[in-house]
Amino acid sequence: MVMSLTEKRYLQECLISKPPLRPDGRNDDQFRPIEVFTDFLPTSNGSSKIVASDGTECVVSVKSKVVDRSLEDDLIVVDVDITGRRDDSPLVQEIASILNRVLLLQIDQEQLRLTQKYSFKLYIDVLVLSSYSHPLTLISFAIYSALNSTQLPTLISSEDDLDVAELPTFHDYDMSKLNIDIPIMFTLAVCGQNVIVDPASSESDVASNGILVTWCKGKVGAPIRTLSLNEEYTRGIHPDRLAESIRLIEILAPKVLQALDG
Amino acid sequence: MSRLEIYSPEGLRVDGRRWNELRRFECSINTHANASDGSSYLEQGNNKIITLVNGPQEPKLRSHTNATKAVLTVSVNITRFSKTERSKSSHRNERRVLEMQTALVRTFEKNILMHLYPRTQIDIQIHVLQQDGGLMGSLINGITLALIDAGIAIYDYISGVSIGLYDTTPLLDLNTVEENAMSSVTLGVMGRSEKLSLLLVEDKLALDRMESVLAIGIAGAHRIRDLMDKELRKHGEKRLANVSSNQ
Amino acid sequence: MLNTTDRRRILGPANAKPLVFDRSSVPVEENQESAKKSSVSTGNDAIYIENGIVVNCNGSSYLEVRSRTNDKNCTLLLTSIYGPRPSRGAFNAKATLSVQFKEVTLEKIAAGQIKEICTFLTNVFNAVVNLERYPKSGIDVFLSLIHSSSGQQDFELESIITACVNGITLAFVDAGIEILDTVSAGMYKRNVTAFMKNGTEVVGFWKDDDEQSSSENILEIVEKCKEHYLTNRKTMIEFMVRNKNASD
Repeated sequence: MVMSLTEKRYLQECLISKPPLRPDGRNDDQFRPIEVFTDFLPTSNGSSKIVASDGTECVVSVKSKVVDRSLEDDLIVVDVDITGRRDDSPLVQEIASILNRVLLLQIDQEQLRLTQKYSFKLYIDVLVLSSYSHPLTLISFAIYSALNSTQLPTLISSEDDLDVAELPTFHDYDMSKLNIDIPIMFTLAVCGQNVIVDPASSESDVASNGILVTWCKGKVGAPIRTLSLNEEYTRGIHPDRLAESIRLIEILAPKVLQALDG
Repeated sequence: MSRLEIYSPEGLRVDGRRWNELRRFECSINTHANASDGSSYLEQGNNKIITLVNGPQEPKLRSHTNATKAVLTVSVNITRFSKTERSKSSHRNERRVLEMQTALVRTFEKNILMHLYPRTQIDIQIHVLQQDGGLMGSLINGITLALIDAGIAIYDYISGVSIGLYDTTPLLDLNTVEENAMSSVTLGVMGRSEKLSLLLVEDKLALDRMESVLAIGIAGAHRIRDLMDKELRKHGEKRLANVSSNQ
Repeated sequence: MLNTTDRRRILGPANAKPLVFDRSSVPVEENQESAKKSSVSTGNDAIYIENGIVVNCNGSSYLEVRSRTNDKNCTLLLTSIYGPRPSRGAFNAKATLSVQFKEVTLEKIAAGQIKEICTFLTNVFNAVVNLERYPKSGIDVFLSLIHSSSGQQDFELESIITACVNGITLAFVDAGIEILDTVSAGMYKRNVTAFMKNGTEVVGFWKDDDEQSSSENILEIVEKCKEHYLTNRKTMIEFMVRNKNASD
C-alpha cells in the first residue's frame, strides 16, 4: 500500500513513541500469526508452505540427490524465486546469497554424509508467491519447517565403501528423518529508540534501519548486519539498538522454534 | 520403452483406472484472498497448481492499453521441483512454456467478455508445484476456477482434459507414464456444450480414430465441469451462509 | 553543474551566463599535483589516499590500505561518483543512490556476495548523503577493486567493505555532494561497523563470524571497531585538510 507523506509521518511518530504504537496493535516483541503446512509435495523429500496474515506466502521444496563427495564442494544449494521480481534483481540475489552462505556455514556437512564416498546433496527451492514486507524471516521459517519435515531414504548397503566399488543402495520404502541444526533468521526494524520484530510493510517503510539477526544451535550467530528496509527514512542508529535487538532475539528465538516444532 | 504394462488385457491402466476414468480431481477457490483478486488451487491426479488472477486493473504499461477491450496476460511458472527429478533450468523462457502461455491467452480471450473491461489488464499467474501429465488441461481448469473467483465475466466454464490413444483404445486423462508412451490430444470444452475452444495435438494420431478420442474427451470434460461446478456451488453456499449469519 | 541537462526545467536563454561562486571547484590538474602523496600511517595500517584520478566523473578517490605487520595484506580501491544527474521517469523528491561494485583484475568474489555488499553500502550511504538536497536526480557510485589480498583466503570481505565505506566518503567529498558527516568504517576481526557523528551512531554493521555474538559482546565489538574508525577518520580528515591547504 502506498502511503502519503502525512500518513508516513504519523506512523513514524507512533513507532518512535515509547512504547511503540504499532498499526496492528502488536507489542514490540510480537510476531504476526503464521500458518505452516508441511509435507504436501510427494515428489520432494521435504516441503513446506507458510502463509503470513498479510497474505505473504512462501513455498519451499527440499529435494535430495546422492553425490560423490570428492566432486561436490557445496552440499546445500538454495534457489530463490520471488514473483514479480527478476532473477537478477538485487533483492533476489541478495536473499539467495545470504541463505546459501548461512546454510553452508551453520549446517555441518558431515550430517549429510552417507558413506565414505557418497553424500546427500540438498536442493532447496524457495518460491515466494507474494510478498509485502522483507521476506527473509518468512523464507527462513519456511526452510526450517521444510528441512524439519525432510525424510531421506534409509541406507541398507555398508557405509564403508572406500575399497569396494559399490553404489549406495536404499531400503525400498523406509525413510529416516533428516537430523540437522537449521538456522533461522530474523529481521528487526529500528524506529528511533525502539526495536520491533517482524516489521509489516508499512512499518518497514518508515523504519530508521533494519537489523538481520541469525539464530543457530541455541545461540545468536553470524551473520548479523544492518539491512535496508526503505530508502527514504534510513538513519544511523545508536549501538545500543544492536545489543537490544540481539537480546530480544535471545529471548524470542527459543519460543519461535518451539512454535515451529510444535 | 518402459517395462510397465500401459493397458492390461483386463482393461486396467498403470494406476488401476479403467479407460474412461478420470484421476482424482480436487479443487478449491479463493485460496489466496490477500494476494490476488481471484485464486484457485487445483489437484488433478498428482498435478498441483496454484492460479492467481489479478484484475481487471489499470495496465502497468501504457502500451498494454486497449481502448475497446481488456488485455489478457498469462504467465506460467513451472517450478524446478515440479517433477521427480529436479530440473537444472528454470522453465521461465522455454519455448514450450511460451507456447503454452500463448495458447492459454488465445483460449481465454474468446471466453472472457473482454469488451466489458476496456482500458484494463487481467493478469493470470500460474504456479505449477507438481506435474504429472496432462498439464495443459489442468492449467485450463485452474484458470477457469480463478476467473470465476475473481468475478470476471465469462461465457461458460472451460474444462480441459487430455486423451491418449493406445493402439485402438482411447484413454482418458493421462498421467506422465502414459503420456510418454502414446500420442495424446488436449481438449478445452465450453461448458456442457460440445464446442471446443482448444484442441491441441502435438503427436501423430490416426484420423479415423479421432472421433472416438474426441467423444470420450468431451464426456470427460463435462464430468470435470460438473466437479468444478459442484465445488463452486459449495463454496458459494458457504460464503452466503457467512454473509447472512453476520447480518 | 551545467554539464548536466535538465529537460524538466526551462533553462532560460541560451546565452545566459551561469552564476559563478568564488572557487566552486578545484581544477583537476592542480588537484593532482597537490594531492600527490598522502601516505599516512595509523595503527596497523598504512593508508595512501589520492583524489581526482578519474577525470570525467564528478568525484573520485583512490585508496591503498596496506597492513604494517604483513606486507602482503593490501587493498587497492578506486571509487568514482557520477551525479547528481537528472533521473528519468517519475518525480522523486529525493535523489536515488546506487552503488556498483566491480573487480577489475581477478574475479574472486561470488556474484551474490557482490550484490550483498552493494545493498549494504547503499543502505549505509542512504543514511548519510543529504538526498533531500538533490530532488529528481540520481547519484551513481562505482567501486573498482583493483587488488585485494589478505587473511588466510585470497581476499577478506570485511577489509574490502571497510575500504569501500572510506573510499566512497572521500569521493563524495571530492564530488562536493552534501553528506551529513564524514562517515568511516572500522574493522575488528571479521566485524565491520560504519559510524557517523563521532562514533555515537552506527550506520552499518556487518558481522560474518560466529564468535562473540551475544548481546553483551556485541557492544565490545562495536567499541573495538570504533577505535579503528577514529584512526581511519583522522587520516581522512588530515588528508582533506592538507588537500585544501595545498589548493588554497
